[in-house]
Amino acid sequence: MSTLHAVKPYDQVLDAQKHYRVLLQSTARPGSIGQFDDAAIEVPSQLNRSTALIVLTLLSADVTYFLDRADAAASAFIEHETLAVPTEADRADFLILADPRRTEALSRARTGHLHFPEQAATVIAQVDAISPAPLENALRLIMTGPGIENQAEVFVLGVSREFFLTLREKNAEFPMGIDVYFTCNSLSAGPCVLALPRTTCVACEQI
Amino acid sequence: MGYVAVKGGQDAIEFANKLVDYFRWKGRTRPIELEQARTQMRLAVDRAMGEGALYAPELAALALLQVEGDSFEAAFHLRAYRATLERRYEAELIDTREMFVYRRISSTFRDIPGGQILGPTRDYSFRLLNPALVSQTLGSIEKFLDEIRNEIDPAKLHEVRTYKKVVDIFLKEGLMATGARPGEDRRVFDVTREAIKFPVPRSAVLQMLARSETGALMCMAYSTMRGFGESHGTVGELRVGEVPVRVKDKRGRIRCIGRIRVSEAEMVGGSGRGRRAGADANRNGKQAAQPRYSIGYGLCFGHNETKAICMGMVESALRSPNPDNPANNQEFVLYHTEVIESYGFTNHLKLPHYVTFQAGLENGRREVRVKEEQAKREAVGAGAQGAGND
Amino acid sequence: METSDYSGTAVAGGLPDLGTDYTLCECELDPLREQVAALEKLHSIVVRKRPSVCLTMIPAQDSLEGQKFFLGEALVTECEVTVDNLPGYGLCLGDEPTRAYCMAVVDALLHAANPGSPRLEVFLAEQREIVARRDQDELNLILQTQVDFKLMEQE
Repeated sequence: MSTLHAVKPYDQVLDAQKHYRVLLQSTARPGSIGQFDDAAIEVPSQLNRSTALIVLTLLSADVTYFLDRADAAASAFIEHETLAVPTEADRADFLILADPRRTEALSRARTGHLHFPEQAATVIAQVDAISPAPLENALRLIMTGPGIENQAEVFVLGVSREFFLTLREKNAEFPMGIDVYFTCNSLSAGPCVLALPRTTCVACEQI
Repeated sequence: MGYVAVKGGQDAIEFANKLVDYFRWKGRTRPIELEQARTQMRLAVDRAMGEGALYAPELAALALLQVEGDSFEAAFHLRAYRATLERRYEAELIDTREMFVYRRISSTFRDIPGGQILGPTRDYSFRLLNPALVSQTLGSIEKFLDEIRNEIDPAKLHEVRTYKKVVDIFLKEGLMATGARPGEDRRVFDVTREAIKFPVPRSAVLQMLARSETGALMCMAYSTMRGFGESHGTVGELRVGEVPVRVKDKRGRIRCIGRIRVSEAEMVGGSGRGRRAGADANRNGKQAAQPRYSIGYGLCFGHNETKAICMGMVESALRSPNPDNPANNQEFVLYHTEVIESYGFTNHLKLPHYVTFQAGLENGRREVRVKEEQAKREAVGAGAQGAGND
Repeated sequence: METSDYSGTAVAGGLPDLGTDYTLCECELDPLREQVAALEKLHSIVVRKRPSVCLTMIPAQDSLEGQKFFLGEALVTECEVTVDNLPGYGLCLGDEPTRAYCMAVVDALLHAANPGSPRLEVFLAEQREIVARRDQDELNLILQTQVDFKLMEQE
């Protein structure tokens, strides 16, 4: 769905609610690809629409964020819309990775504490494509764990194997760990999200 | 004994909600306007704001109308509404020295800077019911508002100003000292953001007492006066009025967003800092002699003198923990005066708690069976032994 | 901010000067709305953030030891506009979308390089006077309850 289609204006309450439900559902069923109903918002060039909608849903004045790209328009968007406070990667509640091929920020993200595992960071990683069917040059992810019957197979283009190796290290001591959301704009399906909660085991191979 | 989950009753529940409205309207009386509730039930509105922990007079008035005056439900509704909103700002520290004062008294001193101002109070009334209240009309109200102005004695007038605090007298005399008590946890805690674990710092105590249920707090305070505690404070100063609220906007400029009505009580009690060196302690307060007095501090939303006074007494009591006195125990006081916690838990008993005796019965039967089998085995064993002896 | 001295005599200034913001928070809505409606014809006004309600947490401190604590949250309405491309922010207690919008417009104009609009200045001065008089009127009544309790032995 392109932005040329007439889309309704963003409703701070009803759209946030719907998008939150999509996030919940995709986190409960890792391997499924969540789709957001798009809304008419102006998104800066460095963020994809899915990331923007998640930012509007989850971020607020009470949280901190880190953006891996120094981009004034993207920062201004996040801060103007949500009042979230920018900070370093090792302190942020939310990490927004425009380029998840690089793993430096991910390796520094918070993993929480034994008594307070929820104090870990949530990572939003922007990718080029997410698909249930094979994609050229994509990584093939085999996911197992809670919420997945047997296993789930998903193809992701725009992220490196190093990302998953780093993630596995970060998630080694459950319940500490990091929850990840891969986001992309799909021409056919609109803004999409793939959840990778810390409970999910991922094996990946290059196609 | 175990609880059994139940389902169903959807239709009955929906109709029960409608029946609430039926009971509200069946008298066919004129609907009460929001502004009527807000202005003529001012103290109920203020109490709801304080217990709902949300300063929003129109919403508090709406809540009271909606719940037919039930103060617990009103607080509950306000807390629920508050939970749907984003907190985008933290105001600058309010300063009650800037208060536009309605009422300002001290029981400790007769002469205080600026004088005692009784303000709007029923303290000196005889609590006689007044049937004439219900025959007021808009006309008679206007007449009253005009006539009251005719009674103004010009000799008593001066321009609007602020008043110095009674606490400042104590400070000047060296009887009180500013600054923290040694060893006390001064962390600023926000109970709406962080779960509490005892002991909590004083900031959490003050925050929780400010949003506590007035009646429960009164119970705790009274208990400290009757010998279940150690304090018997006097009212150093009680102020009711409006204080300005300022917020930094996105450009970093400080903006005034209006005034909120608060009640503040400073209850004079012992200093808790150790014994006084003697009656002739240095008047300038420069000696190492410990200040003799301290205050228990109470501050809450709205015009709620009982709450402010009781808050001062109780927070003072909580600074001297004592296992023998319930009101000197943080967990006892803070949990049991928290309105949603206590109202919710006591009332949740009304929701289905159907108990099954099945498990208990089964355990009982099994016990009997086991005993019978054991008795049989022992009888057979004894018989076998007996047989072996033949 | 001045407070009265120990003897309680008044000092110049009285209550703290809360400025234009306070005047606009407290004045009647209709005159404010009319004033801004007139301004809308003279300036290019764009709403950057529609008026919306949110919470402001209010901190206080005890009078003696200065222990900071959170008193509670207040409902506020905020609005952001640009007037001739200059930003303006409106923020007030309560659920008051029109007022917050009007305050944002006035805020932008008051901080413009050329404050211009003498009519706006006159309006603000008038409203300031009305709000101050309201406080004084009420105080006049409150002061009638000033009391000087005498000891029993005194006449």
